Amino acid sequence: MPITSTARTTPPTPRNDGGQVAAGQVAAGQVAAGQRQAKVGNVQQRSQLALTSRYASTNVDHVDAITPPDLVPDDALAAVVALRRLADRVEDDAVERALADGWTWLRIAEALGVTKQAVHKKHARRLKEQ
Amino acid sequence: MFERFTRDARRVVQQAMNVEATALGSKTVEAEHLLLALSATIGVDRESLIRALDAETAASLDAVGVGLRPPPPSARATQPRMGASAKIALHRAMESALARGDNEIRAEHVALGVLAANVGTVPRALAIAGLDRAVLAARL
Repeated sequence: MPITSTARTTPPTPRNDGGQVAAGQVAAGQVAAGQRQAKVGNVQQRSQLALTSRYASTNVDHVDAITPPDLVPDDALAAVVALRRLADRVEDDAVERALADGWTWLRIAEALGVTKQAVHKKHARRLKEQ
Repeated sequence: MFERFTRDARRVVQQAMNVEATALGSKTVEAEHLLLALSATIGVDRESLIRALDAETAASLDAVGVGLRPPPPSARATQPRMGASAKIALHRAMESALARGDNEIRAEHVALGVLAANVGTVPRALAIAGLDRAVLAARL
């Protein structure tokens, strides 16, 4: 993935400049990736590009944030744990809202980028028991 | 695994599973849920432990520039399964019972198992609350 590789090569000292360069490189990488998928419909491709570049810039900001050498492994690993917990809770809420809005399991699964079986197994029983 | 657990120790595990992990919307039982279930055993009130765990989450997310906090669970969680940190804690509980030459695993052994962790959510939260793990363990 261009995001990770670019972010890793970002020098930690000139942080602001490095971040800008990384963001530019990431955007360029994403455009190239987008062109490779030219078979995809135009509308879908455009929205995909828009989404990707937005997330790419967020990612680079976060990489900047975790680059400082004062973030010891204990803090960095704990952040991963906390982010997973956060993501799980955000997923629970998002799935509940989508179901309330009439989304099918198949559509939710596709939006989450997982199989229908996976999303069903994770959420169906939890929500049925309410 | 729980054959040698006393009724109290089993109650701690059940509370961690059916009350603490479920209330927090967690899909797994972790060491912090055992810690909450052990508040009476270690003599620290549950509310301050919850505050310490919330503070640990906040500090960990802040460290990577994330201002978002986990929302409170809205729907009932499924029956959580045992998570890695809880399994380690229970394994250490058995070791501490063995080390003391005890035949059964009591709630205080489970507490020793939870307090033995040097890394992870529990020691971080206790440190934030200004609670010394060694002091807490020495009381057991």
